[in-house]
Amino acid sequence: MAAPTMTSFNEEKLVQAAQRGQLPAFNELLLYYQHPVYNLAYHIMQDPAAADDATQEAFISAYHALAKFRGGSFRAWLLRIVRNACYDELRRYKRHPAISWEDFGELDKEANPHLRAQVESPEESLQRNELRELLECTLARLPAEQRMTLFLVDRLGLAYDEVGLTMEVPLGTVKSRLYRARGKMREYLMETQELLPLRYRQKGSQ
Amino acid sequence: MENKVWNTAELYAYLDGELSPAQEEALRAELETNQSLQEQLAQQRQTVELLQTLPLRETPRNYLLTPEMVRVAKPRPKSRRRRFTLWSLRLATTLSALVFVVALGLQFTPLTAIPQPLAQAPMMMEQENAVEAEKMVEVEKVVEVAVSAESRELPAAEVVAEEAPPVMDSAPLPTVTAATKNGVGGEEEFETPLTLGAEEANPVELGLCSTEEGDAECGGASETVEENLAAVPPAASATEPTSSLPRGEEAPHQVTDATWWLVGALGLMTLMFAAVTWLVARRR
Repeated sequence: MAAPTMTSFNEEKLVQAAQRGQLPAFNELLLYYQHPVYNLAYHIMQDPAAADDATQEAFISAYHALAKFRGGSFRAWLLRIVRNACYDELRRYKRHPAISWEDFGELDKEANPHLRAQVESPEESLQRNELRELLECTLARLPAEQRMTLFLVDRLGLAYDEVGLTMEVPLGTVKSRLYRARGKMREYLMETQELLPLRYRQKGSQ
Repeated sequence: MENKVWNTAELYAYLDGELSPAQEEALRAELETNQSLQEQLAQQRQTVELLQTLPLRETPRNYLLTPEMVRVAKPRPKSRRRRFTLWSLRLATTLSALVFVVALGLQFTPLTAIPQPLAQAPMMMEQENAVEAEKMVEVEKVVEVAVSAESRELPAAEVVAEEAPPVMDSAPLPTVTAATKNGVGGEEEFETPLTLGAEEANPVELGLCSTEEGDAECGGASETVEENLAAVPPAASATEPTSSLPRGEEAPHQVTDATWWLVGALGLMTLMFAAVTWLVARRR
């Protein structure tokens, strides 16, 4: 099943159909959101295997909890379930520590190449991975709540009120977390700006 | 009109499109004339743009759900047999615990609360029988020794001794005395009074010296008997009253030990029942 495009994607209708118990409708929603969901899970868990487990658990939980969805932002509702699933997984991992897949090497890079939307040249792929690793390492230095806020706003493009719904915090908290997170990221990136693409190298501090 | 000072959070909110239309309009107007504000905003935009380029990770697989994955496991109906087993175990545990508690309570009840004769009667009888049997054995030995000493020289006496009535079944506590009534020759006889008191005599005629044999022989025989009787332990002596035996101290200890074992076994049984009940309940 291919991921639905934005034009063919009618979220409201799919949600209603899924609420009536139609699994294919829910799977369409899942295909549309699995990428951001997995990435949010990764930024919370900081481990590909754990993020994988949490994503699957989150989608199963979302399907069972769909009857409780009363409208509003489906994306924010889904991401809140992901966040809670991740916290559950973190608690479980804390009780029963497991070996991460990353301990066996860079398996996730080649985990499922056919899922990639577009084909990249080797150079592009290398640059992309280097930038991703740099930003992920810098993001990992932030506190978890700030990291999540930053990812939801800057990478997933959620509005402040959606972030508030996802993280179950007031709007003022979202703003302050975002402001602090961006300030720290700028500071950290200045330390390694020679590794950044030329157009992103900072000229001075804010 | 004085220019508003824009802080970093407001500039970020402007970049995110989160300012109110009025604030947005005011900031745009300010940016047209304020060079330093423009530079500050440019730096912030650069940071945000960089973060927005963060490449997302590829999902390792599709997370499509199947009907099996979302099927809710129905709770298994509880069978009657299982329910009966569980309730039986609970009942057994409760009863066992009750019996255990009662037994434990009785253990700690002082013995004075129970009438003494009732409490000790069976034990005293057993004790008396044991002591009696022991004493009878001793007396028989003494008599045998005396008889054997005499019988070598007085074969006739042996016959008489055999005809003598058995010394058993007389009194609960035998008092053994062996003395010569007539110590100076003539007719001599042994007395083995088996009585509770010294006044109640039950003489046994052995007739060892009823013949015309010498005084010396009879006297020697009686001396031997006296010596042997003297060797009987003090507990068996006639002068010691029956009630002075230290039965009262030993008997309660024997009972306590036995009942403690019983209480311990009850406690263990209760624990076992409780453990099995817990396991069965947990499996459900």
